[in-house]
Amino acid sequence: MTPDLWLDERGRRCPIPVIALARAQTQWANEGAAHSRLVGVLADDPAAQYDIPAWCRLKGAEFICEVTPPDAGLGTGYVVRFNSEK
Amino acid sequence: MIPRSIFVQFVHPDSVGSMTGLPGAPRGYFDAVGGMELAAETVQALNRASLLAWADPARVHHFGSQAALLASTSRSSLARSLSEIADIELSADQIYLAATPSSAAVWAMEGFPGITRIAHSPIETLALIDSCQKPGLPLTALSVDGLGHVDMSALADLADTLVVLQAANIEIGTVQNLADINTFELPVLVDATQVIGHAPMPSGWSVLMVNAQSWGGPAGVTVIAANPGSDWAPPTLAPLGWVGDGVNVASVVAAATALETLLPHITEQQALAYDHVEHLRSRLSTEISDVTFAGDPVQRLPHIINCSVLYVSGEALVSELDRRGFAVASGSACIADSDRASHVLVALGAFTGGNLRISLPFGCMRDDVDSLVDAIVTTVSQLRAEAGL
Repeated sequence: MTPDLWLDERGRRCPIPVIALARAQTQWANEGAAHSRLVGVLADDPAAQYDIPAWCRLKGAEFICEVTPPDAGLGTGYVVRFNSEK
Repeated sequence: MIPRSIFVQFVHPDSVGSMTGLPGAPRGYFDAVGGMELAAETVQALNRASLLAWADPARVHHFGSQAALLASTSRSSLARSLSEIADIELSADQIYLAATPSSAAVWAMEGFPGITRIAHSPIETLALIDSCQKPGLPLTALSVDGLGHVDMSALADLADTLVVLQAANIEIGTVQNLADINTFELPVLVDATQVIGHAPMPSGWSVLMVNAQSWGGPAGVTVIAANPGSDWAPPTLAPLGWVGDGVNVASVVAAATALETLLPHITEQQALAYDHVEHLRSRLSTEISDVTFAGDPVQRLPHIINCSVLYVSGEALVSELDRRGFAVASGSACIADSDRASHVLVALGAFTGGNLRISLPFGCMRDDVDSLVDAIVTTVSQLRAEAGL
């Protein structure tokens, strides 16, 4: 499962990675939300491991899994799906 | 009406008229869980007792005897006050005193006969969880639901198990159903901190421990009460009620005085605080977008509310509120001295960013609550604007 979009928020502390995810969701909604979109967030702030899944529950997104960053660099990749109802 | 022995002894009659029995609520202070300003009576008791009870109460000489007498009077006072609050008959020799919650918990755990296992949940205080490891017994983890209620059903399969839990969670305010444990007939060590002084104490405990700061007592006193119906016995000889190396007698006198003087106000303060928190929740949820609350909104401590504001840093929120004169706590990871998100919020699967832990001190007025909400609303919109939201 390869995200359609990677957001590299490494080196940024909470709440910036979650803000980036919220912006991506808004943009997806503004584009019509015609298809589900898989988004990956790369973050190294430890709070992200709790707050990205919690944000998904609050905002109707689906938290898929944690993955190793595709560049094998620092931090963790969090994969989230915005599910289209169409 | 209970006899006000400590009150009479330590509070000068001339000054009684101007005293309210309530600890002060400095303007802008909303962190009662972190300690409360001492009431005038409590300060007087502390000062006067310091002049009389400085010697080792275990000594035979008359200086030591004087300290021992004051300690013993305080135990009687605490027994009477706690009897009234918990609706149980406690005597002075069922009251023990420890300097810290950890030493109280570890000592109390050793007094349950025939225990082969300890059960606790992940949302107990870190001091309590740490204390549960000390006896070296197998542990059972109790699960919690999204509102912070501990699921007692796992206890059905356990025998000879000591249950250790907070009567109510001090971070999110959720009150546990102690009565649920009683059906399993297991001994229960209950931490009643933030319950005693603020809310009715439910029955169903074998041994109760409580930090005296819970009712406006000074720091450094943890009171242990043994339920006369339980088969718990003090694990070490404690003729003066001392656990371990003992407690500052003057602080114990002050703690007993604080509870005696608070007693007539508890019911009224409880109702006021419950309404204030209802009002806080209602205003915060309508005036701030993307705010989420942790804990049971109904079955809760009257004075505690916990919320997380999305897209705002907890550290920035607390610092900016402090700059505006409002003191609150936070369970967010970015708050300076922890660097780890609150283990309670994590266990609940709650949002940990932008977290605010608000606990109302006694004597808090609606105006105070409204100015706090105003400050939070202004601060959140400022911080979100700075982040380009």
